[in-house]
Amino acid sequence: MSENGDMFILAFSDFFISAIFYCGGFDFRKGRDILQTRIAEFRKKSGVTQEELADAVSVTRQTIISLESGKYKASLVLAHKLAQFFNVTIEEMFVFDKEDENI
Amino acid sequence: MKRGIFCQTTATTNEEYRKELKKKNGWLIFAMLGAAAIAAVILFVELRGIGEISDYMLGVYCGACTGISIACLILLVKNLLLLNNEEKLKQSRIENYDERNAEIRSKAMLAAIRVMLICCMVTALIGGLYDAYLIKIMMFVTYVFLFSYLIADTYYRKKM
Repeated sequence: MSENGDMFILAFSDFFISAIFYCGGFDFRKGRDILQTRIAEFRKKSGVTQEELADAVSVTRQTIISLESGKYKASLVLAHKLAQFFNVTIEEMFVFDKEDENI
Repeated sequence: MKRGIFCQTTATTNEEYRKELKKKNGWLIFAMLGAAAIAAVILFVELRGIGEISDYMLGVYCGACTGISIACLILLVKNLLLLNNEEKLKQSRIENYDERNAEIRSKAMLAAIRVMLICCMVTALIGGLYDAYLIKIMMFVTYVFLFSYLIADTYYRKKM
């Protein structure tokens, strides 16, 4: 086989190995919804709008909407800020479904 | 509103964000002048006949440098307008500080990297049948990615 042909086979095998590495990085599992929030409940009770709450905790209104609908899970810092805003504990604000998890 | 891949900020106040934007403006001016200088040098070399540059490469250099200069100028003007408007500055800071937006950005980046790597592999495997040089280039790109990833991974493991 020619030199170019040898190099092609070598490169092909290299790429095959690389492809396995890349595919290994793909995560096909879908996370389960185990964290529920009571942000909307506390917000309505306090008579605060989404815009006002977003402004108070330095996030966009879209983030508040996503948090309330459960599409996005807040970081610890944001959870703390939200809990502080409503003067409640993080456990009261976020309901963690322990039964589904091995803890 | 200023949004983009490199717009993320850690500034929690308008003052901090203002300082960050001013620093970015410095880099934008540097990039704009640098690109303009490269284009000028290439044109000078071509017009004076000092060196030989193909028409294609001349077009590539001049086009890329002009594009970079114009993009930097637009961003600079946008930043200056933001710096003069307190309300818009706050909106921009929140938009870029927002953790959901940061997560969206990193997920979008990850998806783009995956697409790019797949394209690299497909180009190398199919293009390699016609020109072996393509495989060499794509392999180089892939290995640069892999080594950069390993170095960054080691760095962040030590840092966090």
